[in-house]
Amino acid sequence: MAKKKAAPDPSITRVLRPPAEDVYRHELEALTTHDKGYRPPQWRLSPGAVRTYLMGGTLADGTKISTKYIGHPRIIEAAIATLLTDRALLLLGVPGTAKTWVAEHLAAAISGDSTRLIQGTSGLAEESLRYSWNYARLLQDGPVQDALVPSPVYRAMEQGAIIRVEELTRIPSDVQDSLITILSEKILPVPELNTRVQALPGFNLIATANDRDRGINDLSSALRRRFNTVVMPMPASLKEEVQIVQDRVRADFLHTMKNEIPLPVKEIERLVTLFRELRQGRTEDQQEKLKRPSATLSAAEAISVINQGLAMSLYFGDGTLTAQDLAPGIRQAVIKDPTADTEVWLEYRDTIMKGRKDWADLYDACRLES
Amino acid sequence: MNTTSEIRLFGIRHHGPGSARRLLEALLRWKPDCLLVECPADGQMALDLIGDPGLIPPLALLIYAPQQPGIAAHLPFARFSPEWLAARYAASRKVPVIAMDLPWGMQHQLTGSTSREERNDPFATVATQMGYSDTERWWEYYFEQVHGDEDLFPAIGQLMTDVRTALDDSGDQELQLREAWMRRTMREYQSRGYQRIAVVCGAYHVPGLDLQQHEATMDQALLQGLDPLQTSATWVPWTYHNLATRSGYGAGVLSPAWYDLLFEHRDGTTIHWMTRTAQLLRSKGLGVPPASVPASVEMAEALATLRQMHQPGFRELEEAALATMAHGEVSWLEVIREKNLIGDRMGKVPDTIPLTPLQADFQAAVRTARLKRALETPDKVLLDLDLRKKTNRSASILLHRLLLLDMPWGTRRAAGERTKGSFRERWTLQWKKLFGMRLLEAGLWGLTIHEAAHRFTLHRAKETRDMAPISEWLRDCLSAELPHTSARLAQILMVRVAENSDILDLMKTLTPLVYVIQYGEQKPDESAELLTLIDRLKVRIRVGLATFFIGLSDEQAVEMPGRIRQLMTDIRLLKEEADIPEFLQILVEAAESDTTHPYLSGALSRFLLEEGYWTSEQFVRHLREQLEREDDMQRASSWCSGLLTGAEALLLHQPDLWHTIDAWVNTIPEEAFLSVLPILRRTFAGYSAGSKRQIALLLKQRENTSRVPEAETIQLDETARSRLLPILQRWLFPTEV
Repeated sequence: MAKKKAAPDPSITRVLRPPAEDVYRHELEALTTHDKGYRPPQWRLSPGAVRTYLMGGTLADGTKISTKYIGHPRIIEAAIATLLTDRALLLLGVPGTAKTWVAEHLAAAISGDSTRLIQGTSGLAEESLRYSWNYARLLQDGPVQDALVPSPVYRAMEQGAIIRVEELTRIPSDVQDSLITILSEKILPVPELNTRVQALPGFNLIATANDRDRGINDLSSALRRRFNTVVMPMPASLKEEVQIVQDRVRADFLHTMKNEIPLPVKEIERLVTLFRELRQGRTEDQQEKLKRPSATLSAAEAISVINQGLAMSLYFGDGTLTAQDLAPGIRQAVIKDPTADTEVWLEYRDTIMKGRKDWADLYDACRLES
Repeated sequence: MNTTSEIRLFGIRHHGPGSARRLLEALLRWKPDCLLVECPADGQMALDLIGDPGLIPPLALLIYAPQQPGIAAHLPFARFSPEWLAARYAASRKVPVIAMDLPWGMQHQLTGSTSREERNDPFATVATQMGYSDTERWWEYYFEQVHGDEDLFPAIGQLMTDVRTALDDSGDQELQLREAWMRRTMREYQSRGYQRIAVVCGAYHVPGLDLQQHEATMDQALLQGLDPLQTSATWVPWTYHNLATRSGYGAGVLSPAWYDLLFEHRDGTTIHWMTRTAQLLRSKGLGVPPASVPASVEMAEALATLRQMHQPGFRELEEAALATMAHGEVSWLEVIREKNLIGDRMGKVPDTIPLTPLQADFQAAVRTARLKRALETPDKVLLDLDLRKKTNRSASILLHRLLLLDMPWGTRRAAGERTKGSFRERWTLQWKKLFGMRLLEAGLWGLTIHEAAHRFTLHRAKETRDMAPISEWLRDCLSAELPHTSARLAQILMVRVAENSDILDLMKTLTPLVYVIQYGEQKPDESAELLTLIDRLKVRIRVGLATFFIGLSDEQAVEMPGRIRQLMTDIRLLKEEADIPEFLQILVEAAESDTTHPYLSGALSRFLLEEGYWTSEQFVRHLREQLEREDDMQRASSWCSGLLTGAEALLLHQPDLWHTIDAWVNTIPEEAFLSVLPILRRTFAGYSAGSKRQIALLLKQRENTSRVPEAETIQLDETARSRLLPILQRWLFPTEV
């Protein structure tokens, strides 16, 4: 534990994206050592330590816990408090508000395993939530326990752990509803074997759902009241959002590059400003009202534009991120509807961007782009 | 000094329900024979009325300077305020209640403002440092559950001594004087022979009121030569909403309704609050199953545990309610806060309580304007004012000022016609109880109607985001004879014009200003300023207008023609000849452009004809172009609807128009006709019965003579015509056929 900073373990870079509990293993271990708080059954950490793991801090021995969620602690506290109760947690928000990120880290901190995951799709069958059968065994031995293939939910119940369901509202409504018994009765009946799985304490479910999908497969009211809903907000301030983008760019991109390149702080700041202004329909100084494009323009999109630009500059340029590297990405991100968004974009470019002296290079690059 | 007399200091938290309960219990046990409360001495005359059962909190004790309007303090009391409970208790036992603090008339001179509001609640500071979001819950935990009753008040005194030693406030002149005055009052009542004197003051003052630590002679010297302002005092009804937004005494109360609940129910407050919130949300149409209440309580408690609190405070409660009952939708939080944290409780005062200065000023103004009769009846009163008469003029001024104060006692009849040109004004007056409450609230803004209207209007103007209302207030200031207000409003508008690019708002802003420049009597510099403002508006409208017409929704398109007419009227009234053709040119381009909404394009075409900008021939050519779009019947009919809505006279008296439209209707194929019929029906529905009859007559004539007008008309076959005519008859004369 000689490392000063909470950097990912270099031995893990062999896989493309290791799970949170591997990347932050030493942080979790340090937290476990120092945790004096009460741990609910099967919880690896006390609720207070889970909070520290997500919000960051320094432990008694000087171990730094990195900040996983940049934003108001109240959001994380509400999420943890929900998992302490009988209800499941629904993280709701527009794309790019760190729903999945938070869910993964909560599962890693509470159950030590963030890989129990069901990805919600419109084709998801009920078996994926409950259990399915190994048909070879089933034909040979009939319905026996060994022929049963448990779903991640099944396993989580057995082990008293957290199960994650991504994009809950993409799952067809009737399939969603099979969660009701699991969440309210905490049992999963297996009529074929005349048995049932009874969840151990510590079992709970974290679901994420996209705000924009609302109404597609909206939760039935019976299912809805098995959940506490925590809405993930867009970053409140420019500073906060710039911080988020910087941290993620550093984590996602710069570490995979062999040659160390500096973080493009200025470009990130301008890009985040641009995205925020268009998203909020108002300039950061609150002076000017703007038209809003149909795109979400979240922090996640800013991150991908920066990453794309960095790749361009590294492989095709001299390694310094310039306005020219960003311009195509910006255009792609802003213009989702070719007619309406183009008008919005041009207006922004020719009134707001043009007027900013220190944005001249960005303005020129964007003008050449279209 | 009378050695048998005992003084006990009861340090409380202003508006703290926990303090209130403890204080009352202590007083009931000790039975003091004199009660001194921290309240400016010149509030005594109001305090003397406290035994009146007609006084129902929340109330504010109003101290004001009759000679100096604008200087006034409101000291609010809720039913959970310790001072209120103590004073009520004393009054019921016939024990004297004495206002012991430095008179407001002096405090005001020291600070020039209400600086005491700025001093934080010392408990809030301590509570926040200890990680509590809710001071009341912190208080309960530390003072009511840990310490025994006997220790409570001394323990608070000890805590405050520590706090004040750390803060060192010896440089605070106001504080020194106030405490010297309080000590002097304490000594005075001691010497009058009272045996058990209870002193109820903000806990912060407890260390400063220790008579052993301060020399009487020093205090005398300190207080020498003070010359208080002449003041008067009374009670005014208050609301929890006022209590939450501004509070004259100590820290403001963020959550009066929550405190009220804490005062009412000692135990199970979390459950009580959640149940109330569930009921509230249900009443607003949100389905909250009963099972959600325990789930919310559970979550609030989990949050409290996580935040290392003993019990949930109101932040934990609202967060839990949001997640469990309101599905995370933040807009519900506003509803919850408004009702269950702030609350809507309203106080009452009996008629026997002296009038507030603003009420008195209002009564005087009503007498001058001879409107007393209208004030005393709940019925509508019609009023015809001749502004050349002095009484009538003062009535008009008063009614306009009340409008600015958001008290529409009178409404102008003949809406829209602001006939400043004539000397007549016609009003309908109807007094509502609500206005009485408004009048008391308006007391915050000034002691006279004049002053309150001025300040309130400026305050509103600074708060609002849109410009149009500001411009309307500016116009009302003209009739309300508030020239200073209108000058300030013009300055505010000037700043807003630069920020605002919403064309509709700009257009709505222009109209009242044009009225002001036409009828107002400004000083030269003021009118120059107004003209600059109008000029800027004009430029911004002209620049934005062309692009604004693109992509309007159906509703906006229907609203626009009226707006454009108003705009052109305004431009004409400004009498700058060069402007008119410029604006008309924009309208021509819009009328001819395909990107303009067809309804608006039709309406603009008619406008251009009426304005004489287009000749009859030009117009008809344009008309045919538009109607001959066989590919897009919907568009043509929407265009036609824009053209003909409200244009009966034009249709009847312009034969060219008549024939072209008539011919066009005949060309519409049957299926298309059915689809455009609703639009056309709507268009003609607004016509007067007389016009409809004339149109039908014209149609009938043509039918009888079988005259097919002009060659360009396309023949309608007999079956189609026989089908069409009854339909036309039915929408023209729904009742007659």
